[in-house]
Amino acid sequence: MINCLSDTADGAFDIGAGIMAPDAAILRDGRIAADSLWSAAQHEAEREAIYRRCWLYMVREEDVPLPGDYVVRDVEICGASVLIVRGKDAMLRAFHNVCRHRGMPVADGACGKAEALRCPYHSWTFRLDGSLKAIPNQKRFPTLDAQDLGLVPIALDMHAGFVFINLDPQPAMSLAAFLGGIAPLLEATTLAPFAHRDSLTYEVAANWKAGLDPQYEGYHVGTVHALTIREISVTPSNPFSEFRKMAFAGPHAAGWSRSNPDWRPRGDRHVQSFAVQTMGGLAGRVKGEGYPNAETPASLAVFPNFMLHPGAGGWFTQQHWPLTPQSHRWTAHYYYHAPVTASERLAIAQATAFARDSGMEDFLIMARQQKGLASGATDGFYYGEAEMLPRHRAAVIRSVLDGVPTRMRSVA
Amino acid sequence: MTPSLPVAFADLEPFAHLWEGLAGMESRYRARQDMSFDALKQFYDIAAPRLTEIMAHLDGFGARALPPAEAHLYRVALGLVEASLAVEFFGAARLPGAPYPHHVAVGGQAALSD
Repeated sequence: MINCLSDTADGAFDIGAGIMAPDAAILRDGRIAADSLWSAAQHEAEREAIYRRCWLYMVREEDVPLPGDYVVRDVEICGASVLIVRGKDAMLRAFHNVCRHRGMPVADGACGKAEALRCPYHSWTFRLDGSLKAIPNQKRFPTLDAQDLGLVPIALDMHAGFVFINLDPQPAMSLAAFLGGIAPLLEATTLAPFAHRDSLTYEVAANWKAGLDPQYEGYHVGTVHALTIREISVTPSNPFSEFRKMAFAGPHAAGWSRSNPDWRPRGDRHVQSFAVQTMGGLAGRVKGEGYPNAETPASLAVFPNFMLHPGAGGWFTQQHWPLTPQSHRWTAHYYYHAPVTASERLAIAQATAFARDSGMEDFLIMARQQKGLASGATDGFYYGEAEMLPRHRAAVIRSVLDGVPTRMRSVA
Repeated sequence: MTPSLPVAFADLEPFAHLWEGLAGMESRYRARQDMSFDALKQFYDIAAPRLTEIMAHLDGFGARALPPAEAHLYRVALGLVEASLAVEFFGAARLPGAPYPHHVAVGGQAALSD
């Protein structure tokens, strides 16, 4: 098996371009080229070598529960709009959200429900399995064969309820092989019972890899989150909020934090105290329903851009989608058990608002970091040994980009 | 017309208008940015110590729909959540270093059907 789980960061990996080793110099010194976070050439290379090649997480299987339910997710770096729809045969399929007549997106919005997908331009209509159902005034297209004009399929596969797609028309490896040794950690992440989700979207004025960093290390917590979560994770025995354990599986990684069982909200923080106490009650009401435990990693990083974490009421997942060399889109889902009482709804509102604000502390900082890096004042930056997760990710990306010739796409 | 709050919470009436008509987190976060810290703190100091009492009252209705006065009280409590972020953590209405207005979308590209 490739992408095996290991305690060390130097294990071989494969993302579909052959077996490679993470860049040894980056693993050793932690020095990263500054322009990897702002150059257009790097952005282009990542598009071709990573986002057009890797399996990319999209949604949970239960997010598209019934025939006709669909979601649309943009992968801007590839210019792709991905339509994921459940067919009448209950199969989940992915297609390019592009009408075969004139290229119009057939599905609107980020999610919806449809009997069939009707193009808003000239009403070409597609079945939920992607096949072309009807061309209005079809006699005017005498040479077309409707059988050849279904929506263009995209490879889709699932693992433990996590739905992934691959924009490579012929993926070089299966999802199972891609996930490799990280798969058991995904299997242990039980999101399905957490029926209430709060979802947020935010555009960040920083490179997508900078966006991933705060969840890949605890080093920043004492400084960036001095007003919010510092007190939860910084302790006399762990003053720099370091992971107690790290593991690597091919391009993927995980970090386990040292818990701080003594933390309680400050007594004068009435609303936080109420929310934390109520959330504890909600957890007790639905016992044994797949909560994170001591063996759950604080950060589970599925390459290239998907992360899972224990959350205030259950779980928290996030993704960082590249938009331009210097911007990305953050999407986050906070998973809770379905609230029954007003108190439980309020506790969830506090937990999501607190997560929003502490997340913004990261994003507001990294927008300033982006300017500093892009100024060209320095040609390198550093990840320390406690920042081995981002160091490993940078070493993986370096090797991938060195190993795969960039095919620059014409923008004409 | 804005419904009154339940009688037992009449002392919160002077603050109730601050959060009236703000149905979602996006609009409450924006309203917080548009208030002075002093206004948020004044509201928090009166309302926060009563939160347990407010929520016990609302929980009394179980999963049933809240009557208008109670629904109004719940919106005030949701406003208190935004105020509490400013008062309990940041000592300021707006996040340090945030642009104004600062918008974080609920749903957006991450939206899922209910």
